[in-house]
Amino acid sequence: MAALSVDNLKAPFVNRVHLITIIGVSVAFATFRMAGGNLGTAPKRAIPRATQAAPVETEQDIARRELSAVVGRQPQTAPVVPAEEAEGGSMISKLVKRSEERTRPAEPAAPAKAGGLDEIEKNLGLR
Amino acid sequence: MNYGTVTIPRTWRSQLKVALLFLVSCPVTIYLSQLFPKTVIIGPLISLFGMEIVLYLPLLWFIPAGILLTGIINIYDVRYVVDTRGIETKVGILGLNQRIVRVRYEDIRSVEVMQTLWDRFLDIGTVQVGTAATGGVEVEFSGVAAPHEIQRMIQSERDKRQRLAVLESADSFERVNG
Repeated sequence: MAALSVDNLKAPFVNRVHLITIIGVSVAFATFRMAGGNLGTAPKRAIPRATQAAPVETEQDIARRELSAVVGRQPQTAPVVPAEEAEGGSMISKLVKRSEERTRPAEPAAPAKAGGLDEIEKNLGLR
Repeated sequence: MNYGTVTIPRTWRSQLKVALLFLVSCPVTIYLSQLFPKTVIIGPLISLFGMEIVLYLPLLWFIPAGILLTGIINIYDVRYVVDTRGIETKVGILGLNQRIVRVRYEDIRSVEVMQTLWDRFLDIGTVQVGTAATGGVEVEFSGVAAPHEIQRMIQSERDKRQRLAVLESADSFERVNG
């Protein structure tokens, strides 16, 4: 408690140099506040979370969606054939139409390419 | 608390130009910050318990703050001490390199005061103390108030020490010779 002597507490205000320093720092702080300076609080910015209504798509989801749009497959890990068969063969008819569209312009232009396409289609089971 | 020790600080009157510049720059900063609100930058500091602490910082405020800091460093970077054995100066207290010079009263040869016209109006000045060791000024108290009183104080202590030294040498001479 001896350290909390009143003399020690009033010493900075008795000494003229320290008193002017205290006044100067107070004026600087007042300038800071009047110039618009402030320290405030704000709620944390809401991070977008995935919900059932608006799922957050990842890049993989987007790639799967585009692939399914091109090939006509569902973005599922289930095998293609059983899913198409379950939908009543409509997917198969689309695939067939697409394969026919692909093969028609390819044949006269580049026989090598058409041959390549034929092999791909065979491998995919489109023919 | 050291009895017999007098600490002489630099006075704010010696930093009058800095103080006036600071007082002028404060309202100018307030006016310009309100005129150009884009100079107030807003940024998050830290996050605590789900809340973000945001700081609104007026960039123009750094001008008067820097001026005030310059004055404070000039005042508190040095410390002049006069005690019963001699005088001491500490320069560079707030810096990386500190220089401490201590001179005994017996070694003091000259005490001079330097004041400009403006310093005379404000009663501030520089007290320069020369010793026998160096040809020039050994110790300098710059920016102190009432420099003539400090000069008289140092000279009176020096004269006292010299008289004591003369008396002691006379006593020892008498003892030796009977």
